[in-house]
Amino acid sequence: MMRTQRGLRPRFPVQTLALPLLSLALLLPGGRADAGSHLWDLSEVFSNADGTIQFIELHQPTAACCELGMNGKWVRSLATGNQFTFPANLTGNTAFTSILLGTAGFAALPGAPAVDHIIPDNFFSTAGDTIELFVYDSVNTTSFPVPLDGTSALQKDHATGVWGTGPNSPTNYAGSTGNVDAGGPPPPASGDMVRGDTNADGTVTIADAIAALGYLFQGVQVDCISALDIDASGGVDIGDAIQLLGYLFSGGAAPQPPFPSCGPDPAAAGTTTCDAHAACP
Amino acid sequence: MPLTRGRRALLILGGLLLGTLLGCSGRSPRSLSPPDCGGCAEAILQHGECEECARRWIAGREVPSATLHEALDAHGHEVDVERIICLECAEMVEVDGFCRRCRMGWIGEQLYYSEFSWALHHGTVRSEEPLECRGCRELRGEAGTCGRCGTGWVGVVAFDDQSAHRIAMREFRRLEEAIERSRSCDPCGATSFFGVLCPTCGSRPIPPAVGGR
Repeated sequence: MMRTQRGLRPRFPVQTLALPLLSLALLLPGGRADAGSHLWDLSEVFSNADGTIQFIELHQPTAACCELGMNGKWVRSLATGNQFTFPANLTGNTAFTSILLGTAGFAALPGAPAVDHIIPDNFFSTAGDTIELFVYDSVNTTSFPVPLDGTSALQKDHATGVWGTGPNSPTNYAGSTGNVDAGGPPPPASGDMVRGDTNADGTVTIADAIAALGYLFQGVQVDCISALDIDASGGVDIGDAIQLLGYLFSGGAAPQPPFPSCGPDPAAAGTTTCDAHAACP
Repeated sequence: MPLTRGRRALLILGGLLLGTLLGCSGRSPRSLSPPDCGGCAEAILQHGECEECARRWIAGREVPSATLHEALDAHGHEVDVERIICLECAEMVEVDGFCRRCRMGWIGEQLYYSEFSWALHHGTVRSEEPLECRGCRELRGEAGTCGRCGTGWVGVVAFDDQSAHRIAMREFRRLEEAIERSRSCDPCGATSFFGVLCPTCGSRPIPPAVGGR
């Protein structure tokens, strides 16, 4: 789920749980994906010298509106074995859009646009790697090395398909673009989060409940586990997803603070952790 | 309306003629579609999915893996060709060609996500219709060239274009291998077909992997 709005208001004022639960059953992986995603390319790859500040930008270089079917597709590094799997399909119009994956250190840099998804430090190897986007695209960074000067990035020319280097220009799905200088040490992540915004897109919707269920039952990666701990019990279980659905659709209890605004986790003594929360850079 | 002797004779003659026509084929046309499901018959024509039966088809072959079927997405897609950025794609649009850089093919300004899909659409799906040629009747559903009339077959797709037929045959055999792999490891079907190491079981690509989207 991409960052589309900053408000944290429920968007589906349905009074019973029946409809959302039915929708959930239809939306969970295993259901049929109607939208395609074949036209996404790897577009820009950036790293500082120690790999703590990295981003990978995908780009959809055609006028196709509906390359939305990213649920379950992955970006991975063959050298490190790290893999990011998209937790949900996209929404909106995908013509000439980008998706930005970045480390927490990158997300915290001045000039960085909000990342769409957090990836771990050293997601890919700075010493040469192959980065793959599902079966759609790949880049061998042994043949095309990623510059490590903190300002340049490896970039694809979509007219010719040739990889080259240039000033970094990370762009996110909302179309925000920026430029970072990662020559110095990365500033620490704020550690703040919004409970309930499990997919860190800046809004709390049914997609967050789906992401929570994906984390619980399908091993989907979540950067801020504390955001899933709706009742601040110090652990994440099905009760958290049910409470979130209840809040969204039947007037149930709201998630415990920090909610609905960003803030530190007062129950941080529990077993949950929050490496980074993209909605609270 | 009472049947006159003349009408009765015509009906009998017609029945005899029909029986003769059916009988001279040697056997009834090979049926490749599942019985009693119009959705599947339509899905076979489109290399698509029958939602009613949750069965998927490409070139008349059933593809059990939704992941593999979706990755192939073997039908044409509409894209605004006036706004194509890739220079090679822009050239290929003009000649219904295949862009090796993007691994996408073009026919009639429709976009195909793999060389297999692109090659398949140079042929004609003939899954249901009766075939006059006995050789074609025997070959339909398999991959090869009819020794009697020279028509190329890849599953239920008939080809006059020999170049496209060669590509489609090669990719069809790779598809069959991918289907087999997907039975024990679902992601393997798509990854091995498209030239990617399977992240689940490490299975290698099926050679020669041209790749696709």
